[in-house]
Amino acid sequence: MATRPEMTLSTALSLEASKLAGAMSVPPMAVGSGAASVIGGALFSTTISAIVFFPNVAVYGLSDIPPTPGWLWSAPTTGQAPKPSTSRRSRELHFREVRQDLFKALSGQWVCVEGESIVAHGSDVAGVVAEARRKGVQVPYIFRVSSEPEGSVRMGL
Amino acid sequence: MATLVSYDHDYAYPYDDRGARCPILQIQLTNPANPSQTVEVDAYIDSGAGGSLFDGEFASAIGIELTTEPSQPYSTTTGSGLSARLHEVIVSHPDLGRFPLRVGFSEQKIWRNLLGRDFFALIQIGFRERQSAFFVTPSP
Repeated sequence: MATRPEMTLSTALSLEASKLAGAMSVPPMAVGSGAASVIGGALFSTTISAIVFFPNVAVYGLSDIPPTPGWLWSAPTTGQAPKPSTSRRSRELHFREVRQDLFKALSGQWVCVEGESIVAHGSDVAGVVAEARRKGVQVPYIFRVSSEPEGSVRMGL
Repeated sequence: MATLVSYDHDYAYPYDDRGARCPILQIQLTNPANPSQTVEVDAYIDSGAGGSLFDGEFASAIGIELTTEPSQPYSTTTGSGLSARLHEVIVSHPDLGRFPLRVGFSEQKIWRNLLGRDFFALIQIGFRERQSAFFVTPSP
């Protein structure tokens, strides 16, 4: 059985900010029963008190464990799995995901992507939409490539 | 007593332009006066936003004159504000249907379009952050 050293509050505070921020989004009340029983039997047998008093610390520890569907926070179901997304832009989303190198060169610009092609790009939406329509795209999919600082935490506004 | 909620559709968070998974939905914005004027955009699902807000450039892109409606102030977390013009558009998505919705179009550049709680009033939505997934049912 794997063992880990006891996690104290001070070590928790020195953890990477991003992981800690992620941990803090988990409702503390979710830690009480399920988490303690799972962790206590497997990895964190010496850290139950930390789990109780510093729930975010405990949840940070949990984040090392790969997510397991249905574990700890089960999505409410009625016995039927939700239908997978039918995004009409799945090709474009995949293209954006695998070719981020292309988009970095367009930082700050509006871009229209159709399939695996960049149809138009520029500094104003109207121009990009017009060019896309000239090229036969009836409903242009437009987004702006961020030029926000690397590493910044994004918020709505 | 537990409350159970069921959802019809699940979506993995897509990657944004920085390679981070985010709760983004691709929706279409249509000019109700001219349905051929439609664009599809990324919109961040934001339960903290009191109203949906889109970059004002999208208004002109679908043939809406931004300044025909009065300016509406929006306040941000920094305390600074921005202004937007409220216009009715058709918001649509293949799984969720079509909704007439009065949304804000910003008068300043914004980095993210937001689907706020006015949109949440049209659907049911749930998040599973650890799995980078969200769930939607197309009824309020």
